[in-house]
Amino acid sequence: MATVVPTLAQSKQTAAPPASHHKVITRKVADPIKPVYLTLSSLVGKSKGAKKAVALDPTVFDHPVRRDILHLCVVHYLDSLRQGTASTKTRGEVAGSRRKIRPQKGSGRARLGDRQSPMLRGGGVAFGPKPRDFSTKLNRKVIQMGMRVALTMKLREQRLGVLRRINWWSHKTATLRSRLEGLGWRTGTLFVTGEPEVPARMRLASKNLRGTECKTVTDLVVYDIVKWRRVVLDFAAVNTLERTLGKGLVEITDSERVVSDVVHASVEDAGEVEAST
Amino acid sequence: MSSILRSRATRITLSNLSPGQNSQHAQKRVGRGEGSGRGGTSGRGHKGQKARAGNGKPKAGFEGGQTPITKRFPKRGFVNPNRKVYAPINLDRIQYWIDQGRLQSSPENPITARELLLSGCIHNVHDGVKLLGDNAAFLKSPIHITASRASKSAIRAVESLGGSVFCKYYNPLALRDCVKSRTDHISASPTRRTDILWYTDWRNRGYLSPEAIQKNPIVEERWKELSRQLLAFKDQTFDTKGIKKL
Repeated sequence: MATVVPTLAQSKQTAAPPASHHKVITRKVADPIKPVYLTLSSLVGKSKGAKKAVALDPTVFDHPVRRDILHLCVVHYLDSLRQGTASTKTRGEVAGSRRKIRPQKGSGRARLGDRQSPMLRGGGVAFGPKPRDFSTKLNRKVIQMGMRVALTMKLREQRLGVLRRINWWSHKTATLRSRLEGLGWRTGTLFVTGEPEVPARMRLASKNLRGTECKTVTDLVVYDIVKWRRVVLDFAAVNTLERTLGKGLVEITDSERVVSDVVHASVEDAGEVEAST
Repeated sequence: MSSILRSRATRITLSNLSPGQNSQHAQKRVGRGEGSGRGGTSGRGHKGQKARAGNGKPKAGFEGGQTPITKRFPKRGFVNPNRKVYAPINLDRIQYWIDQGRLQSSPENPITARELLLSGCIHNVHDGVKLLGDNAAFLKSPIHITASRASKSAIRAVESLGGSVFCKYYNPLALRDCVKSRTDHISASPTRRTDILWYTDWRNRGYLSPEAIQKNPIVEERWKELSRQLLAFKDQTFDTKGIKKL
């Protein structure tokens, strides 16, 4: 140990291994991480014109499949929704006196104490439900992985869409309904916006539509992504998701988000959101 | 089993989620009929002490009358109520934290137990922090630290780079105030003889030693008086005038 010269990294970003270990971790430069592509959708659409693609972080939208983690996340969410208010009275809580019903010996029948025994009709419940909390703990990083897996599955099943902004020009529901019908997004679509609030006109227009829902990205859970047939994000939501869930290896800025001329093979994988008839 | 072999081409919906294979084990429920295999006597056999409700044992560790393992060997020693467990912190770890930008020190704002705990350098303060000198060669920057104790090699290494080490006495209340950054209390001075001798010694960089009172940029007025009084014994002699020699 006396002969080894200690070296320590000075940068904050890439934390060097502890001083006592002298391993250096290198990554092959030969295979850079490429983004995954998805066709950009539009609420105010032009049917003609070249379709543009959206570049997405593959660490978030191209994650290895883990169906068991989706199961964990969904069960955890549903547990948290349980009201847990089932309640019964034990023999101590049932109203009644402590008087012994009949003498211990001599009656020829079974021995009995007070009237509230669980053996008797009208008595307390032996191990009945009591109000309790059914929520469970799930590791934060498992939930984050669940989000990544869910978004990946939606993308692979061609049920993920990206808009520039989730906004509508009118507060009238009929206008939005007809446009969504044209897109094939009338039922089972979840709009997720990265803005602090869902834009007012969109909220008003979609509020009465049964098959659609608008949410902010902070309220998004794995259950929603699995439940809804179609998940449509906006650029702000994609930025937030990539920032909170991504590994930080691929940095896609706003200017790089939309790609007009994607030449290489992955543009064929850039499927569109599956439209229901 | 067929679910593994079936291809996973179907879309994931709420209706086809399942847990990982063998990740969830069914709960054992006894006394619920013969079909379960654990009905009737519920896996306890017939009669006897072990089949009864309650513990089934006279007491914990009872071995049927044989001398139990807890009685076979003699008792030994005692537990010292004055025992102090210091959280060790080595110099290489402090250097690593400084490189990451998680710790800063200056003579006016030395590293104390609070900074070490909040930055994650130590996980528990226990009864105080002791600065140790493992991997002292990795220390590159001058650090200013106030710990409960410090090893001689650590003091040497820190001071050779222009840093400073002072050892302050922290009783549990004082340590709590240090960690919570409370300045409205007065920290107690050491009362035990061993502590007084230790913290008035410059070799240990004790905060009550005369050299430390001079050199320490943060010095309370109280400490100056304490240092003077606690070290008064060194110059005291017995008053032998008028006592008859035997």
